[in-house]
Amino acid sequence: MARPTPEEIASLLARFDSSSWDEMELRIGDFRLHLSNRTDAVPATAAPAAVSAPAAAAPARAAAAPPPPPPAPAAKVAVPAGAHTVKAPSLGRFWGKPKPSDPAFVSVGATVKAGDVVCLVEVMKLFTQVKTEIGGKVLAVAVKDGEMVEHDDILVVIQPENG
Amino acid sequence: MLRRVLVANRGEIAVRIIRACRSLGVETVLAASAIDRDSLAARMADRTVTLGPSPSNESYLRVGLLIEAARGTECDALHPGYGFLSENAQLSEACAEYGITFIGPPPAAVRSVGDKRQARALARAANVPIVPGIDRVNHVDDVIAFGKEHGYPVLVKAAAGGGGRGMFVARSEQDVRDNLGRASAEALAAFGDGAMYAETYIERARHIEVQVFADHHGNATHFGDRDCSVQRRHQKLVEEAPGPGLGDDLRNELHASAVRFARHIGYANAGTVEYVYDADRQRFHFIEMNARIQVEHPVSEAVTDTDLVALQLRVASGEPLPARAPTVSGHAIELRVNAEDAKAGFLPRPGRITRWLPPEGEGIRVDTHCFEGYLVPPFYDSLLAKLIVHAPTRPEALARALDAARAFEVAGVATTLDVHQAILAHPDFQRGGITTQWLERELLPGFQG
Repeated sequence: MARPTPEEIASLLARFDSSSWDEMELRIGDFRLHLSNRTDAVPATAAPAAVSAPAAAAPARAAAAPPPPPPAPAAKVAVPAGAHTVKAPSLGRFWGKPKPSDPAFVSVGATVKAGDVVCLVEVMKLFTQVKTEIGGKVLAVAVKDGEMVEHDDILVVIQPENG
Repeated sequence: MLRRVLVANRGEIAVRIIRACRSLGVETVLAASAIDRDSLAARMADRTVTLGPSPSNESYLRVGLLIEAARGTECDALHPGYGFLSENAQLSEACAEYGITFIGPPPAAVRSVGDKRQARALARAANVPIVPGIDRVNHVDDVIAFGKEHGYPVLVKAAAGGGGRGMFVARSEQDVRDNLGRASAEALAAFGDGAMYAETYIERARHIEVQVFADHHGNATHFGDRDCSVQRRHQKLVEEAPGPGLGDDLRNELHASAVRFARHIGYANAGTVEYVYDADRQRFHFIEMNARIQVEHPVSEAVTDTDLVALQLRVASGEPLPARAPTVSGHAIELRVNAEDAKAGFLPRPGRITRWLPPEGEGIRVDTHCFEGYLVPPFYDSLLAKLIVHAPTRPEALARALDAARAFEVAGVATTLDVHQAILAHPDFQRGGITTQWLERELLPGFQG
């Protein structure tokens, strides 16, 4: 579908300005226009980035809005109060099984002991075993096989034995 | 053009790379350590991923983490910035293995300049001048002939050792005759080997470097030279472009030799060929090549009106260099504003910035990742900002830099802005052409009191 012309955007801005609306959002295909009157709605990048805008000497400081962000990681898992979380030691790929043909180290409902391996994190074909420090019942495995995890991401949620 | 770049660095250069990507419509993913998750670069990037804990050896220095971050976020390219793994051939090789475009030179070029002896041999082969020397002195006449050809002073030292034993500086033929036998005997006693080595002794050295650029179509060019002689313990504090007081012929020869070297080693993307300039003999000699974008690249950008980081992205994506050779206009100066206390021996002073008001105005540029309230972490280098000024002439650039340094308001952390002001106001620096020893010998003793 065609994007709005600059004239159409100008007309939208004028109407928004004279309206009593706080916010307006327009999406046509991959085109997205977000208008807001709220002072707290300034994008985070605009604030401290606005150090001295140099003259001709500086490389172009991008004025245009950044392109849409790359896909964000999957929603974080819910952690009930008192539950223990096993986190990623570094960025890498998550693997819940020793080998693709093997059963998973742990699954929801299983019981684990302190020191048990719960998953692997792979960094360029080097696999690090991730162990739980606390025994209990597995409440959730937060990541799917082969997905990228970041440092400190929650991998497995465990209900402690005496919890 | 590239689609999505993994920014494998932090601080001001990460911000700088993100800006260049944005100007070309390229998406960015910042690969950050835990503490840098809240940095300015992280706020600017389209996405940030946390590599690992804050210490660089658990985050920024891990090739594997960077490769996994690029794969996991579907980046088609990686920019290494400077420092960290920027000149590590393992990173560029791993990128090649995983089909990620490394925004920098090919691994072979990184390796060949990474070994200083190999680089020196390559320079000789490319007809780029190196510091003249004779590897083995067999007779006193060898040194005398060398002195006749290259002039005095000549440094004579033990081939086997260091620490000043068996070493002397000969200022005349008579000096050679008087001291060679004794020095050789001293070397024999100290190292069990009396073999001697001689080279031109550069008493007054300046650090001059040339910004080169090569594409993947056989083109190579330069973006002028920089003088980075204001150094403390080999750390540059002030840089300027062009280098003051070099004659046109010498400058042309310098630029041509740098481009010749880049071509000879099959270089691609941005690089810097570093020279020692002998201020007495007015000759330059190759030291090494830095296979990366450098901290001080903005002074070259200012005088050539070029965005060198954007050009890195273009060249990495396969575009040729612009057909028109760059021209140099005006004069540019860069001050490296570090979180260090110059009066306390340049002790690093990380902490929370409570006031941050960089100068603004015509011909003033500040490259920084800092802002009011930012906590300067203790894990990395102490660079807070680069203050770059550009003006039509050197005296105007000096005046502008001094004004800007005085106007720069920072509180909460110590900065080197006070020593920068002292440098800019000093008659020796204003005259131009100071040597690499000037800061430590002439300026700092009086400044530090």
